[in-house]
Amino acid sequence: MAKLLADDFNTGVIGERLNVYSPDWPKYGFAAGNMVISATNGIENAEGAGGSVASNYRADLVLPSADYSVSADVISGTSIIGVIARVSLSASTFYQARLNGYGTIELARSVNGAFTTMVSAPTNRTTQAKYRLRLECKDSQISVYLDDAATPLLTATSTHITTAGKAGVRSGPGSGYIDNFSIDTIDSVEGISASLNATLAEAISSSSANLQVEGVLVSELAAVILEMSGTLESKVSLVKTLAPATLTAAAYIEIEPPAPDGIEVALLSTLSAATLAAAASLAVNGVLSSTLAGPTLVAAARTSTAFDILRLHPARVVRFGGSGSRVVVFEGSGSRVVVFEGSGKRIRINEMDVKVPIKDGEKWKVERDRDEISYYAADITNELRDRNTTAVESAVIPLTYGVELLEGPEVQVATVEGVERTFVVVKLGDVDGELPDDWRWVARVPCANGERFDKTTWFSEVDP
Amino acid sequence: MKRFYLAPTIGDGSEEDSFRPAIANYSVAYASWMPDVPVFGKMVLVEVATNDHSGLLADAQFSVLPAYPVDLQVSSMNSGDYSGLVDTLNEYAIPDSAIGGSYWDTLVAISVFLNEQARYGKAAR
Repeated sequence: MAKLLADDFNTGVIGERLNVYSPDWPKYGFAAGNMVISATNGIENAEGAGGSVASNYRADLVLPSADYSVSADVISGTSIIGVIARVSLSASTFYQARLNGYGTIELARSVNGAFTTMVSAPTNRTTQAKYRLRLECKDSQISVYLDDAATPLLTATSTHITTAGKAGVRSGPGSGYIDNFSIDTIDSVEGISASLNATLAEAISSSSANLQVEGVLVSELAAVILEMSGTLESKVSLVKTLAPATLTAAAYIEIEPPAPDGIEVALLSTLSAATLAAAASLAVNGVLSSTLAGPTLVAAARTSTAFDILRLHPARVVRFGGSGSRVVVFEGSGSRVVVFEGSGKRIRINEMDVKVPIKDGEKWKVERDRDEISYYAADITNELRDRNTTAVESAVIPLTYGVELLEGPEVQVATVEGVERTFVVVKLGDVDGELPDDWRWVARVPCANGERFDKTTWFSEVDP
Repeated sequence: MKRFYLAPTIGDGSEEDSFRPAIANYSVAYASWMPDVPVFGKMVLVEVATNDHSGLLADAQFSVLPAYPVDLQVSSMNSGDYSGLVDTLNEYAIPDSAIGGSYWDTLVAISVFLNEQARYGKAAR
């Protein structure tokens, strides 16, 4: 949002007409009264209770498009008073956000002088009060925001006035004041620190822009475009429809971005027909219960649950020294990823409630519930480095003993603390019947130099 | 709680007496689907958000529509509500053909008929 114009009327002389105060504020031709500099608050209608409607507009500002917002502090009194946008100079035609006396906030339109109140809400005030009104026009979506709220109080769809026109102020007879007038663009949305309840349909969050929602994202995002490295982050549940949102290039939707503790949030949103292009990723650390029917995943785009956290947020992976020769655990919504480093240090995900490996003889074991379904990542970085070679990804074989292989294997690379590490990732299921003595899974890794090695993860049974 | 009503248009289109649904006389938040050319007395579809609908429900000049989610298929309404909706629309010369698809689709169709009625002077109440 960029400011196009601001005026606090502080340089005016009390009682001076607004069009005298500045020639950039001419009278609007469809109102007989006069706005003047107020002794107390900005400007007011000079005519008093028995006079005429007063209206002025900013003549100097050529608005870059019909999509912009007009804001002002408006003090209610007995008049109908507010800001106007898309003002036609050839007819009494405009949109208006206004206070109607003490009791009502209205979004109205005047088309050739016929006033229609489209949307209205009570103020629940019975005495004079100051409100910050923002009238926002975006395509056919006309909205009124109150007191700099993140979400509109009033919204209407109207195609009656589509040209940019001018922006200004308007006051009926009676008491009421306008101060701190401004005109702003509405070309981007970013850094929303409260809950986002607004409709963002067809909004464009452009290159590198972040749409970050600290609270609940409950907004309609249909047709929203997140371009390039744009990010949609929601720190709590994302519960709204995203269809048919388009995420291009490296854009990604992230639910619950990096945080030191367990991740319990869920993606409940419909992504039907969403397009994730190029390297876009959809990372869901919590439950993915959304409809994904029909999404288009292009090029390297992927949806992922638990283990992609290694790739997307390697900073969350913390290695720490000690006697543990391997390990790690990553838990989220019932799934966990266990990463065996192989030698040296353990890795864990920050302060998560990890299951620490236990040394049993010469084996480091990970406690596992027999009904557990988890991701396991075997870190083969050191083995490859020792051999000065690479893995033949297509030939990697998972060997399972007493546990069902559900997915994988897949060779993944993640940069952890500045070091690029290679993992073999599988998803393992539960156990039928008796556990074997050598309950384990093995990543058998053929190398490009013709060698082969096994990386074994041992399990010990534990009740959930 | 939000509910939809059919309400008559009041006002004369002046700045002080703008066209608006008669529901504006109640202290409730509303969004009206005002016709392109509003006409005093013609019915308009209004969405009202309030915790207390009792005053509106008791006002005979308003007709309340069934309380269902807007994405519900109208074919899923219970028979009593469905027939009540048909009767309400017929009262305002809105044909049964407006009813179909989702509840939202039906509301859109109703507003289109009301818009036509306001523009061309067809029957209202």
